[in-house]
Amino acid sequence: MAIGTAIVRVPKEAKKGEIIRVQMVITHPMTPPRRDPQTGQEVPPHNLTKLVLLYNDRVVSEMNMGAGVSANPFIALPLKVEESGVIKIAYEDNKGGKWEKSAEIKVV
Amino acid sequence: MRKKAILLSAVLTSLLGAGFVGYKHAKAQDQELSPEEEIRLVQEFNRMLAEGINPGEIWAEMGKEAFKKYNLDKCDFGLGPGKIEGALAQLPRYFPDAKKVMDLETRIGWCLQQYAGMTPDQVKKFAKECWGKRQCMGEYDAIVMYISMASNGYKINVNLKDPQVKRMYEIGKRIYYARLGPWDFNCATCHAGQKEVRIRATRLWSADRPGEAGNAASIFPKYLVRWSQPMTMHYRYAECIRQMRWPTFEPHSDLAVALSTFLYATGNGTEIKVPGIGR
Repeated sequence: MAIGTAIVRVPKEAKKGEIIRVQMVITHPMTPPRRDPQTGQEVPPHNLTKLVLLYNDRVVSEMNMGAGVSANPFIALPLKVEESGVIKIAYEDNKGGKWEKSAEIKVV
Repeated sequence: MRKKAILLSAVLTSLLGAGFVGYKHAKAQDQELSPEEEIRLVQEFNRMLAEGINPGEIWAEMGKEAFKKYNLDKCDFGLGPGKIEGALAQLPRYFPDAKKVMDLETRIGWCLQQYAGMTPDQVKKFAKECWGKRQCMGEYDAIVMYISMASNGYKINVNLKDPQVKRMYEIGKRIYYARLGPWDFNCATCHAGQKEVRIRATRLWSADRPGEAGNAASIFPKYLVRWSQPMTMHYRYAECIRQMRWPTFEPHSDLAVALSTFLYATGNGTEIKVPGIGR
C-alpha cells in the first residue's frame, strides 16, 4: 500500500436516470513547494495534477488539481446514470505517477 | 456563538477542500447564526461525515493484509482465536494466558511476540513507527484500524465485575486524578469538571459530563487531518503525557492499560464508531 491507492464508492444499485454521488479518497501527500527548515534546500512539490472520471469508457468529468488541495483528498461528484457499467477514475501526479481505480454499478 | 460558527465552518472547509462548502464559510463570517441554524450546520456536518469516506478506511484495507502477514489470526482477542467482530467492545479484559489485564493494543503487542516472533524491543519500535511523522502508512496503525473497524456498531461493555479489571479501573482512576510532574498536571486538569475547557480552539471532553468520555473513546483510532494519518489510543496517551511533562510514555505499558480501562469503562454503553475524524 503506497501513494496513489484509492477507495471509490458508489451505490450498489440505482434507478435509471437517478443522480448518484461518486465518492473517492485518494492517498497522496500533496506537498506544496517549500524550503526545508533545517537545510534550506528547496523541496519540489508533489501533488496530483489531474483526475478524470470515466463512465463506461466515456469521459464525464475532468478535474485539475494543484498544491492547495489537502492531503488524502476526499472528492464527491454527482453523476446521472442511465445504464449498468463501470465507473472508473484515472488520476496522475506531477512526478509521473499514473493510477486508476474502478467500481461497478447496477442500474435497474 | 459567532466564534463557534466560524470554527465549525473552518473545520468543514479544511476537511472537504475548498469550494465544496466554501459558501458557508463566507456566510458564517458575515452574520450571526441563530441556535437553530447552528444545530442545523452541525447536523449537516455529521451527515457529510457519515456519508463520505473517511481516509482512515484506507488503513483498514491495508491492515487486512498485515493481519495475515503477522499471523494475528491465531491471536485470541477474548472471543476466540482470530475472531475480531466485537472484540474492541469487550476490551480491556483479563487474559488467563498472559495473566494480565490487556487492552487492544497491548494484546496486539503480546500476540506479535507470541506468533510473529518479535522481541519486546522490536514490538515497541513497530508500534512507534509513525509517531511524530506525517502521512506515514504504518502497518501497526493499519492492524489496529482493521481490528477496531470490525467492532463498528457494537456497544462498549467492559466487565467491571471481574476483580482484576476492577482493580485496573481503580488504578486508572487514581492515575487520572494524580497530580504529577514539574507542572503539577493531571488528566483531570483539562478533562474533568462541568466547566468548559479549551486548548486553543478545541473544546475538550470531560469525564464528569455524562456520555462525553464514551464519545471520545469510542472513535479511536481516529484520522487526524493535520497529520494526514490515523492516531491510535496509545499515541494519544503519549501526546497527552508529553504535553503534561510527565515521564516518557512507553506503548503497551501497564499505565496505558489502566487508563484504557478507566476510559472505556466510563464510556460503557456507547456505540463504537471507528474511524473517527479530528482536526
